Amino acid sequence: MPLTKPLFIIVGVVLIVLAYIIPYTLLYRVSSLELYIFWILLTIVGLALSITYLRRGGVK
Amino acid sequence: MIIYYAIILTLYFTIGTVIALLSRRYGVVSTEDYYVAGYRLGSLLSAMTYAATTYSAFMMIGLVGFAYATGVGAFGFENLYLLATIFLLTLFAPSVWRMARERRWVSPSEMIGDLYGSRTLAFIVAVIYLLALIPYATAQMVGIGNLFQGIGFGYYTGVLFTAFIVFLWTYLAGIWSVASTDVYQGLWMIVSSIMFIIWIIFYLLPSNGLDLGRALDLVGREGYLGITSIWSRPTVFLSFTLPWTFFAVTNPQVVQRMYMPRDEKALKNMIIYFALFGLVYTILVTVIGLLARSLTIAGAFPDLTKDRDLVTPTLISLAHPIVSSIVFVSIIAASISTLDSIILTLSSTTSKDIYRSSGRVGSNKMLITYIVLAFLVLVTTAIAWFKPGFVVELSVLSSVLLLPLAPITIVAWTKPRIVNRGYIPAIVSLITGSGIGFYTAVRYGPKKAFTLEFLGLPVSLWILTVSTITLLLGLLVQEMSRRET
Repeated sequence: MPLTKPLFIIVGVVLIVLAYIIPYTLLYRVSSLELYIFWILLTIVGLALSITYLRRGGVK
Repeated sequence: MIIYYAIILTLYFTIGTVIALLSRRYGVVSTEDYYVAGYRLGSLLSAMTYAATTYSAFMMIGLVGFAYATGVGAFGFENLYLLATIFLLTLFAPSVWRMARERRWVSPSEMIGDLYGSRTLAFIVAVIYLLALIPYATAQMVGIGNLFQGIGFGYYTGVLFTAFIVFLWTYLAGIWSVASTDVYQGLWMIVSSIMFIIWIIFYLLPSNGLDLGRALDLVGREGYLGITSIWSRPTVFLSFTLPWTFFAVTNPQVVQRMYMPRDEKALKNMIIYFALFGLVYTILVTVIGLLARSLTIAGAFPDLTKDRDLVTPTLISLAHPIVSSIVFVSIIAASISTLDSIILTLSSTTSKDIYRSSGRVGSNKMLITYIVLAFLVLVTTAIAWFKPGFVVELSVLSSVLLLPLAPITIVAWTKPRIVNRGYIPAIVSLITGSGIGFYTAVRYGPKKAFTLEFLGLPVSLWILTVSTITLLLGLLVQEMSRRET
C-alpha cells in the first residue's frame, strides 16, 4: 500500500497518541527498561515512516 | 583545574572564530544571504544548525537533572518533542521550503504576514517573538554566567564573553557563520556527551562498585524506570509536552531553517540527520541522569533531587580536569549555538517586520541589519547583567507564549488560499491566545503558570484550543460573508 499523505498523517498521529497512552496503561509500573525502549522504538518507527514518506514520493 | 578550563575555552573560541571567518567566503551581499543563506545551505549545515539551534544547555544541565529527579519520564517528555518534530517537519517542511523561495521569505513573521495578506499581522507576530524569546535568550546568557561563576571566572565575565562571541559569530557572515559554527558546536556537544558517558560507565561506576547492569537494576528497583510521582497525572505530562510538541511550527529560529536548504535533497537530509542527532543526544543525556541517580541510591553521590540542576556540575567536578573542561565547554557551546540563532532570527523579524513596517526603508539594508543585531545583543546582555526576576523566569514560558502561533501557522501552510486576507481572525486568535499566556504569567508567576490547570486541563491546552477555535470560527464567518457578497 503506497504511503499517501492521509495515511502518513493517520499513522503519525497514532504514534504520538501511543507515546502518551501506553506509559499510563501498559507500562506504568515497570522496573526495567521496557518504557524507555518503547519510547525509543516509537521514535525509530516514526523516523522510518518519515524517511519512507520523504523518499517514496509522498512529497510533491 | 581552572587552567584546563581556560585552555579548552580558548581553544573552543579560537577554532570557532576561525570557522566563522572562513565562512565569509560564501559571500554575503544581501539580507537574503545574511539571514537565510540565499536559500543555498547544504545538507550537513542545514541539519547541524537545526540540531544545535534546537538543543540548548537545557539538555546537559536541565534534562540530566530532570532524568535524575523524575526518572525515565523525562526522556518521554523530551522524546515526544522529537517525535512530533519529525512528523511536523516531514509533513510541512517541503511545502514551506518551496513557498519560501517562491515568495522570497526571509523572516517567519514576514511569512505569516504574507500568507494572511497583512503587514499588521507580521508586526504583531514579530513583537510576540521578541516578548517570548528575549527572556529565553537571556536565560542562555544567565546560564553561562552561572557556569563561569561556578568555576571561578565570575558571572559578569561569562555574560560579557557570551555577548562578544554571539555578536562576533553572527556579525561575521550571518547565517553562514552561525550555521558553520553550529556544525562545530553540535559535534562538540555530541562527542563530549559520548566521552562523558564512557567515563561514567567505565570509570565512575566501577570505582563505586557498580556496573551498568547493576546501576540500571538499582534505578529500576526504586521506580525510576517507570512513571514516577511527578508524572503520575497525565495532565502534568501533557502540560510539559504540549508546548514543545509544536516547537517546530511556533519557534521562528527553527521555522526559518526550513527556508534555507539548497534543494529538496538537502531538506530531506536535514530532517533525517537532525532526527538521528536528536535521538542519540536525548538518549545519552537521559542515561547520564539515570546513572547519576544510581550512584545516589548506592550512596556514592549526594542526593540532589531538590537541586537537580547541580547534577551535571557535580558529576563533572569528579572527572579528570580535561574531561570536565571539555564537557563544561560543550554546555557553553550548546547555549551559544542556540543563542546566536535566536538573536539572528529576531534580528530578521525586527528589521523586516518592525523597523521597516514603520515606513523607514533605508538604502543600506545591511547597515540596519547590523544595528538591529547589536541592539538585540545589548538588550539581552543588559537583562542578563541585572537579572530582573520576572523576565528571567519568563524564559520557561517561551514555548507556551508562542503556542497561539501553531494554529495560524498550520492553517496558513495547509490552506494558503483560504487564509489570504483572513488576517482579522488571525489577529484575534493570536491576541486571545497570547493574552491568556501573558495573563497567567503575570497573575500566577511564569513557573507556576507552566503547569497550572483550569478545569483539570493545562493552560497550554487552553491556549491552543481557544486560539484554534477563534481562528477557525473567524475564517468560517469571513468565508460565509464573502460568499454572500
